[in-house]
Amino acid sequence: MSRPRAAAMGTGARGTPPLSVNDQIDEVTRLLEAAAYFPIFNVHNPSIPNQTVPLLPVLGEQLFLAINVNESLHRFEVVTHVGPQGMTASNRMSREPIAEVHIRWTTMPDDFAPGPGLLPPPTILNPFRSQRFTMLNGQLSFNDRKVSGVQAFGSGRTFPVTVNGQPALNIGAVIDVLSGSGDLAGLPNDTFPGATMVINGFIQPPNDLALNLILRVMDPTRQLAARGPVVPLVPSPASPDPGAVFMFFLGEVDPRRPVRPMFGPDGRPIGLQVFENLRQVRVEYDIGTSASLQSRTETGPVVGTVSTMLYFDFQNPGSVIPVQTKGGVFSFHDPQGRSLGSVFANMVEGRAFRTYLPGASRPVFRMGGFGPIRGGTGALAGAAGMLSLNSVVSVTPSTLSNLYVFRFEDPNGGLRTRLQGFC
Amino acid sequence: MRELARSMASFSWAMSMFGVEQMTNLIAPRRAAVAFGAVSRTVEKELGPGLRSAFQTGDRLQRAVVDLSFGLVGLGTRPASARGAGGNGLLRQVGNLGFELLQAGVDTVYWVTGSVWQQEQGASGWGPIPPAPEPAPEK
Repeated sequence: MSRPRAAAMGTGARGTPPLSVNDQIDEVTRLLEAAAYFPIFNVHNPSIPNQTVPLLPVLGEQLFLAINVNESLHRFEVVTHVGPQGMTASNRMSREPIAEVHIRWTTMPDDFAPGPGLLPPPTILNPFRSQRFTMLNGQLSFNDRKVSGVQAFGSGRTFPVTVNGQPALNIGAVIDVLSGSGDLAGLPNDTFPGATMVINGFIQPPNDLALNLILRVMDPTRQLAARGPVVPLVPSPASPDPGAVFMFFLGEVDPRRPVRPMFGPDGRPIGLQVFENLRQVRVEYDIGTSASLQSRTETGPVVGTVSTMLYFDFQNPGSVIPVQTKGGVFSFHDPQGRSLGSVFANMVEGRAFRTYLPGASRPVFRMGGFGPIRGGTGALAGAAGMLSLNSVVSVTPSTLSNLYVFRFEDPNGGLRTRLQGFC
Repeated sequence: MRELARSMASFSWAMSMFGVEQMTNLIAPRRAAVAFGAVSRTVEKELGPGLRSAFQTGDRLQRAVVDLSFGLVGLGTRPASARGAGGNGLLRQVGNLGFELLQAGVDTVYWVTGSVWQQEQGASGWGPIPPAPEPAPEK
């Protein structure tokens, strides 16, 4: 098995010889993969409606600068399966809410650098073009006994689309968790070195929001790992997003094709050329029946590959670094190796957060990002929708653990039918 | 003062040469667009925060008007952000122009009242995504 060469050697415990490069990669990979995931789907909360912040009070909800969002959050379960019958995905959300969220969703100028507590210059939501937005005063609170939760800040972008003949805005966003409470108290610290959220969905302002949110908490000591089976989800009779299908895949380094650094003409590193294997993944979690939040990640066989160029200046000393990808190709196959098709998608906007991870010799980077799906081949020909990514990447040694979330637009179920019958 | 005069003379000559080159590039509009875009971005970088905001508002407005004009004569291409959006492209351009005009009004008030000069920015890492650098050619 070939492995990328690491530039720096780590050391073992005191008095033990240094770890080999392969051992370092395996050790850091294990730390990166140790994560507690909480996939969530929002549902409008009629008791506390969302409120628009109008440009002028007389203009009401027609021209507005922000939305004060108050939504109920439900457990979201995505089970993707690739087998001899093709690819299937079931998307269910819990009948009962498991959390609530409050944010001030605020559009901002294209050139603005937002920050926690910084109100951007007044910017009208324009449904006719892609716009940037920031999410201020973010508070997500679970309905567990300790009222665990996170305070967060992030930004994202709108992408105009049509849903059921009506204009809508696809949404992608990256959110950095600033602090935690309850079972997540102390975050970020050695127990929970960091947490990132990504959002993938669409909105028809001001009240129709169909958003998937995934909270990924780095959990190297497995504090939040379920020790046994997780209480099954009691599903809502309502489909969370009837016009689309979500699929989750977990990316890991491809041992046959190592991650390679890319350099600019001046010799400075500009990013990484990344090759990954994609595994089936199923995430379950429980907030109500155990003493603490619990999450369980079950991985399946490799059902695809990714090839992409990840651009980010990992020598940038800042705590937040812009990230993007180019040339992204996701190819899927069944367990026998028969191709199902490919999808073309890039992270047009992403953020990397330098994170100190106990046990790793160098800081690693939490990353979140998103971008439109731009067609595909085979059963995925003409695919559209949004890709989001919630990941952790180590540059030295070069390894990663990436959760990919695909939201394929599929208003009449044609894509699902094609995927099932393709093999 | 002499340095300023020399720089201005140099600038005028450079712009003349740039104009001549772009005239020849009219047979390759994409190349000309890239060159003009580079000049615009350079100008934008040199402006202070207040004028930069005004520049960007005007620039967006002009682009919206040009898009609309090209749409009316059937020479437009759908913007990347509109992929999958369906519907009437011309209607979208008209709608976008309307919103851009309103935003220009809001920006003007923001600028005239001096608010723009007090506007704080957050960490640059949360700013716009810069263009991806070109990788070094394979050896």
